[in-house]
Amino acid sequence: MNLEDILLKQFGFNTFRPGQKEVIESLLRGKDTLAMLPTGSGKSLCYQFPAYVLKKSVLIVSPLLSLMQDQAEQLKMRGEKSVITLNSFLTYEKKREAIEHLDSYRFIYLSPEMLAIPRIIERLQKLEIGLFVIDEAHCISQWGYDFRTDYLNLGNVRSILNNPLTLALTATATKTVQTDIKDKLKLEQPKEVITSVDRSNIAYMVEEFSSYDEKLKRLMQLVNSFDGAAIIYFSSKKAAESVATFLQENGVKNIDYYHGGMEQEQRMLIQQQFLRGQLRIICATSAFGMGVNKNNVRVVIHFHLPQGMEAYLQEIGRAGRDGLQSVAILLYCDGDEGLPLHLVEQQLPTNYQIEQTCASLHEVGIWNIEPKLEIDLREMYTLTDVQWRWITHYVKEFEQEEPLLITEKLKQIAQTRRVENQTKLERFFRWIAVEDCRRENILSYFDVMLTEKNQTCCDRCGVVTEELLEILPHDEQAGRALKKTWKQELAAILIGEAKNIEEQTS
Amino acid sequence: MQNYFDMIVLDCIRIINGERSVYAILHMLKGKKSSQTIQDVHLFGLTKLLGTLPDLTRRQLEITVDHLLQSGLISTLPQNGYYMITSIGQELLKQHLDKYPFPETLNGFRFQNRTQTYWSRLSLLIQTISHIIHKQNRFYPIQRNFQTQTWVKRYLALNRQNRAEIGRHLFDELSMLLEKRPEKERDIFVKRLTGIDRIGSTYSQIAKELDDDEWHVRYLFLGTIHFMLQKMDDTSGEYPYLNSVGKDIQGNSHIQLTNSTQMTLKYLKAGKSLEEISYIRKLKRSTIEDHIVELAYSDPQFNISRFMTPKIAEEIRVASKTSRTKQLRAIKEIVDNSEISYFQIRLVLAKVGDDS
Repeated sequence: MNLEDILLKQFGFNTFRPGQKEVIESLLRGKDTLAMLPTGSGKSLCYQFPAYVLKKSVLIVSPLLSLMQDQAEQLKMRGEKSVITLNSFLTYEKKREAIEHLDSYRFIYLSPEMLAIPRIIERLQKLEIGLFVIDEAHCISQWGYDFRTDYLNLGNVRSILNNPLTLALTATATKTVQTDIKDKLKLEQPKEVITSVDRSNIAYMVEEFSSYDEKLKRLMQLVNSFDGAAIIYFSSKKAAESVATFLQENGVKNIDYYHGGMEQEQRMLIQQQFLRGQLRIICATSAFGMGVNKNNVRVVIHFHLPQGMEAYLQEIGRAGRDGLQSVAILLYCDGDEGLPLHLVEQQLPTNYQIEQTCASLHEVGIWNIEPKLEIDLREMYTLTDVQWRWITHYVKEFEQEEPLLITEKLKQIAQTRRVENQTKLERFFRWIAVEDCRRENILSYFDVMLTEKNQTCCDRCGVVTEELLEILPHDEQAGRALKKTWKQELAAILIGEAKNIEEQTS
Repeated sequence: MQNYFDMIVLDCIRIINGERSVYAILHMLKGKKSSQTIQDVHLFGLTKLLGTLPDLTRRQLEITVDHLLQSGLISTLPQNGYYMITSIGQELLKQHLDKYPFPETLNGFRFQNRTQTYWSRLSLLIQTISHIIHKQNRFYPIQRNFQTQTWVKRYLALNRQNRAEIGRHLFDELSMLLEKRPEKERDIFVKRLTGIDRIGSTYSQIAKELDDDEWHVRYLFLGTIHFMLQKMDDTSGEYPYLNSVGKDIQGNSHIQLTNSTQMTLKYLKAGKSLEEISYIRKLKRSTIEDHIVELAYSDPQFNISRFMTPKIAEEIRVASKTSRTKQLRAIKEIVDNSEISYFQIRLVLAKVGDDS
């Protein structure tokens, strides 16, 4: 069977998308591979496909729990039953059971902190690993936009597991970050499949305003000028919520908000309503989107500035996964820079937080932290999850040093990181003001040349938002209306033959 | 007051009457598993609200309390900084409670540990059946919890009859139960369901459709689930399908104890004295006392006579009636008997129950 036959049989596709085949062929030749494929180009197929040829377990490390679950659900939807997700939310009993039968799974999703547990590593060592996949591999680099300290351990894990065939996947990595990924994962001369980060079916538009009210007015106008699905990104939960409410109150239908502060069940409902087309527009924070596999998002609007170029590409990449014409619109108002600057500042712990936390950690010893103490310390010094892991990671790393020196080192690292983050943001601010082609400018950031001039490119190349919105493909919004009475609705769900029931309930 | 949640907090402050800090309210609404919280809900007659808002945050509560304070609905007690309801607060609260009473079926104390699991299973089972009978075998499960998904799979493997038949039975049983509930509760429940071609609505979406308050919708929905669970307990035979969804959920017993209290109960049953248990378990006497008080609240059959003479019990009972307060110190002053301990007073109060 050739690759295309397997593609059709297992996945129901006739052709590969750019980059996929190259990655798969490289892996099947037994070569470690670093692949950069744009968001929405079918990255997960690159490791799912080889599983059916290698006939061994595929281990996938993924940074976000929700992302992991989404991908596992999608696999199961396709009829693949042999999937397990190992994360800290499983009960002890389930975890034990899963670990015992680990070799019976074709796809094993793991969060990075699971790979710090000796019991799990021991079990994995006994397993025949066909492929070791690092999803969102840029998280390993502190120059990446989403650095995660628990990713740093993955290089070691790879050695301990006897260097299994490895695939590092990312959508957004500059040259520096790519090099860093190879170093940290100890990949020796891997095959590199770097497709362009350019998504040619997405037009880039920036619009400037002189006040918040104007921006809001424009947003309302925009959402009424097309009928397809859209995501509007905000940098705070509160803004996402209040703008969604504002638009609802002004007659915009099928719109709602989504953010990380909502309960899990309510979030799931919103996400699935959007997937089904029951909701047309989502006002969201960046928590929304990862793993949301909706092909026909036509428009992504940024009401606030993103946290840099990589984050921006990641977010607008959720538009037009079906390859049809789509658009990314950034609404910018003078002074908008303040918010993201403030947010990146907040990601890292302050000097005060570092000093106090380090002192407390030193007192009890970094390896003796009970969950109760973690809760107390985090509450006392108002540390976010990320800040807490950041501090404990570096305290462990510099364990041998003098306590005071550790504190100083942490403060220095934090300062350097703060400056880097600011530089990244400033680079993005410059993109807003750029006078030439926006697409070329983005590509130059990733050291890529634009090979083919795009017809519908960006505002700088003469695209007009209104004209573009008019020619966007139309979409039927699905979703069944509720039945007239509660009993008819209940019958529609559980019995289905509406006719019989109407007789009964009338 | 801005919303139904403000009203709930105001009602709690009224009932607690300056005898606890607002964090006691947080613990109650979140359903904290501690002897103190379990005693509090009984002492103040707030068992219905226990654990009804498991995701409530400290900050949410603080914002509401601030808001109530600024609107003059509550005031601060000078001696301890705790809060009391003002007369304006009383009046407004009464209006709101008349308009939006708690569902009479609400019983957090009895059902808090079962509510979430029961609903997760039921909603996923309904979604699954709905898709299977419409010949769609692939869909995104609305419940992500691994245990819930495993449960539904096992349920369908064990119950091999025709899926349409299961759907029919679920329909019949749910209809029968919902008929007994007010119109609004039925609507909310059905809107929450995910089935073929329609994903369930969120609380806030339902609230907008019904022009109601999101928190109120949430409590009406809880009222429905608690009603269903109540029916399962009382007349499980009438609803075999709905009953099979929840019968194995832990926490089914009426008596829900913290782990440490269960251990103390074991020693008590083995005939050990309070002192002995304290020694064996290397715990302070006061901790063991907390456990025993928790037991007295949780189990109506729990006999307190081994901790005091009938005469002492009677003295305390009379004193608590005359003082009309739940404050231990006030009761202690009235009994004016140095033989009587706080522990004994707490035990008697536990037995006097909610109706005092």
